[in-house]
Amino acid sequence: MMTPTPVRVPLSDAVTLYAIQTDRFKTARLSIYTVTPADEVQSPLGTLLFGILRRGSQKYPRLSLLNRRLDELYGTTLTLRNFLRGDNHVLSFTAEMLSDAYTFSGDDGNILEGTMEVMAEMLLHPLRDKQGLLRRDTVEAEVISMIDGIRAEVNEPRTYAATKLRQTMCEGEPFGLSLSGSIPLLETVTPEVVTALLDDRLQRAHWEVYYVGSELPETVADTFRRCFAGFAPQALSLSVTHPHFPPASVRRMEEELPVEQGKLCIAWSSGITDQTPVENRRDDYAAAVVLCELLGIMQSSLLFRRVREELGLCYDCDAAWEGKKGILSVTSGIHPKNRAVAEQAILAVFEDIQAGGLTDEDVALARISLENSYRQLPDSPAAMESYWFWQTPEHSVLPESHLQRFLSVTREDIIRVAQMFSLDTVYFLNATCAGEEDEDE
Amino acid sequence: MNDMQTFSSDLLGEAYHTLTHPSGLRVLVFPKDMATTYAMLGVRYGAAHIPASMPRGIPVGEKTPLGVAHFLEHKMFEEADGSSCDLRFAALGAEVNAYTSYDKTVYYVSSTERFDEALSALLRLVSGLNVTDASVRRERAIITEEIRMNRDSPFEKCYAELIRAMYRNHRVREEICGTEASVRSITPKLLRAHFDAFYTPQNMVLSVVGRVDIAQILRVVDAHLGACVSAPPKPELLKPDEPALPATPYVQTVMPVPKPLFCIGVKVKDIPTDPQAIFRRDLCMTVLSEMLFSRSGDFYNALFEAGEIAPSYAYGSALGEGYGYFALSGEGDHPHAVYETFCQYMQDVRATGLSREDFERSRRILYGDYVTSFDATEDIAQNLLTYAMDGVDLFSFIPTVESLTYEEISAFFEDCFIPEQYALSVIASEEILQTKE
Repeated sequence: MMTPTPVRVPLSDAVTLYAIQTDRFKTARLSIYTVTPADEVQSPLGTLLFGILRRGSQKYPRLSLLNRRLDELYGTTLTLRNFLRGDNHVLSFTAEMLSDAYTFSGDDGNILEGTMEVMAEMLLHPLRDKQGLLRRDTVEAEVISMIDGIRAEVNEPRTYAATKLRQTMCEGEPFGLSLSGSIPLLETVTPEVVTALLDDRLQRAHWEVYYVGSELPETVADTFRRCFAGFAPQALSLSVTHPHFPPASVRRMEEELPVEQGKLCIAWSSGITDQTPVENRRDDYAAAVVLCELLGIMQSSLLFRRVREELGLCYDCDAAWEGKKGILSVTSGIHPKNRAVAEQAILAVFEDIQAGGLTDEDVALARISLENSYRQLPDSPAAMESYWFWQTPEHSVLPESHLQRFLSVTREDIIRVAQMFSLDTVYFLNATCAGEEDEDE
Repeated sequence: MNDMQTFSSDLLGEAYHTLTHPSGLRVLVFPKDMATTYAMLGVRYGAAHIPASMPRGIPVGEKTPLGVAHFLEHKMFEEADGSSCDLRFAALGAEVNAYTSYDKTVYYVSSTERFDEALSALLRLVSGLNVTDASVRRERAIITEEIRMNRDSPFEKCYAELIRAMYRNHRVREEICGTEASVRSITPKLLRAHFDAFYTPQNMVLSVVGRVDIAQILRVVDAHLGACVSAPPKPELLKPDEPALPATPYVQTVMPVPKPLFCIGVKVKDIPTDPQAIFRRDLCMTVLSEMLFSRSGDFYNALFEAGEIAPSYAYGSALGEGYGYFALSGEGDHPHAVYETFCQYMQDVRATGLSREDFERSRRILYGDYVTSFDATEDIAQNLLTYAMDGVDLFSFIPTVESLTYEEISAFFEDCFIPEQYALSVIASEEILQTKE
């Protein structure tokens, strides 16, 4: 089953639609991604701005009215997402909606148009006061909510630890910034500041619109043009993402939280990214992806087998690959008394790969796992959208071609590329409420 | 195998087949042209089940340690040589995993190729138990870390404490993983006894969704269970004597959270036992929950606009064997004020009546959610299994929702939402609890 390729429809200099027409689903998915260069001040303000936009618009002045409209559209969900794509900041609204073919008989509503109208309302027509500023009460409420969110980050220790690892590792780089900013920064925000940011983003923008569903690309494009009539920004130049390289000496950071389980996060880097060219038939990027897969992503990864199953040190020990920056990281929840032995065990697994302690079976399992993941792409609108979104800017590499790169990776390629990675950062979130582990009777 | 039935839905353009294999295994097959084929095998044995009888030397009744079903789920993945069977699935390009709930344990596998082999491996996984003292000891350490991880989530803790406040005897009040102490008391002998008692084909249901047909699935099942024609009945389960009222109306827990968390519950009394009645009640509760607590509704929006509740808000209902409740949770500086608003709102609704518009809106949302669930083989397999284990047809959803009346929902609301049935769980830092809002 081939993964469908999106049709690219330029809607303006700043907005491009990527539409996949398929009748395989009973639902449709529409995402509007707004992309800007990551910036220490502008990015958190952008996050704040989107929170304000989600609270209402001129046509739907209260959150309840906006949500009721989505309910009328058979419970269309609207999700706000906030993340980094390399050195650029992405804020997006994603709508998941029923296809018109499944609406009640006699219901003449066009769900795509209705949903896009709500999105246009939020993005282009937020509530403003008589001076044209975003309303003070809405801005202040969202500032409070965002500050609360920053304070509450510790409520989810795993996410908190992974964020701290990224920020420690990439301090001073765009990829190391906080998307929520700091409390002092947010406390200075005024309606004037955030309105100026909104107006700027409506004048200079880079939007990528993704659609997966039963409508034809031209129908989606026409609907967008109708709903977003008058929106004609200039194209915004994005940042070129730079690879992350290892430091001269390993960065180490430790913090404490009053929790029961510690979080150990370890990262390696090499400068190999998705932009690394294939030279002399050496595809370092593909080898790095397979390396991460067998280290800690696939079913029965090396970390799962050795750190969890053999040593019983943890419940979870997973790897992640950040292909835009070339960062390979591992996160594990452990009892603090096992910190040294767990770190040693995780490093030993990696060093063992670098030393060639890797079997052909391990490599084969990683290839099979990646093959299975790629074959599943056509089953999920979200997975297809995600695949193409992360393939920017050219959208030219078909999943099947991409997969072929991974299937060509050999054991020797993985060992060679593993040797190019250096230990970069070790972050430990110490758990001060762990207590003593009871010994087995 | 002469009881094969086919159920279909013209609206959805979908159909599935079901029959009982001679071994007693209930099999459901839902052909669907997707790249991924998904199988789920459910065992009618969950964290809330308490056997009334067991072989000599095995604790029974209330002495059954907490967390046995979950521990067993972990150990089912062990091969005879002590290694994990994950490798066998990985070699097939199949993904395998499992979870334990209060009323069942579910094992699932998915793959895009070699599905018959993956299903075969799944059936093998649940047909034998390999445990040793050493492997059980090692697993205790892993499960202990899982328990610790769960305890570090204030949201889960707040919810768990609410259920403990509402339930006095039912094991729904206990953590599915058990406690560190209960896990230490679980031995290979105990696991073996529970495996023998519950892991029989007649106590299992298999659902398969994807590019498959029933003959193909039966060939795989036959190869594994062809020789099983009569399995012993599972042991009788204790039915906890659970009072109608919550055990306590209020519980507070100290955790170093920056903002207090709250969880409000409404304990439902008179839980039906007939499958169709349970199903109907479940849908009633889902509609009512949406009508009362949704982000479009007056209750949430009054709190949101007053700044009394953070966006991280959740609500829903649960109904299982011998338990049922509504729950809503969130963060706010004044949880007691939120609770008072809740009580006042319910009193107002009792006086004015539920909104008919909300009733129609909620049914429309349920319909949208239901249709959406047919877009992924995983979701279909999950729902097919759950409905089958609950004794209802997957396609009976829409006619049942259509048959719900405003009057029926209103009567249920009147019966349920009375202050004696409410409970509140609060998590806050020590300073906040001392100053008490």
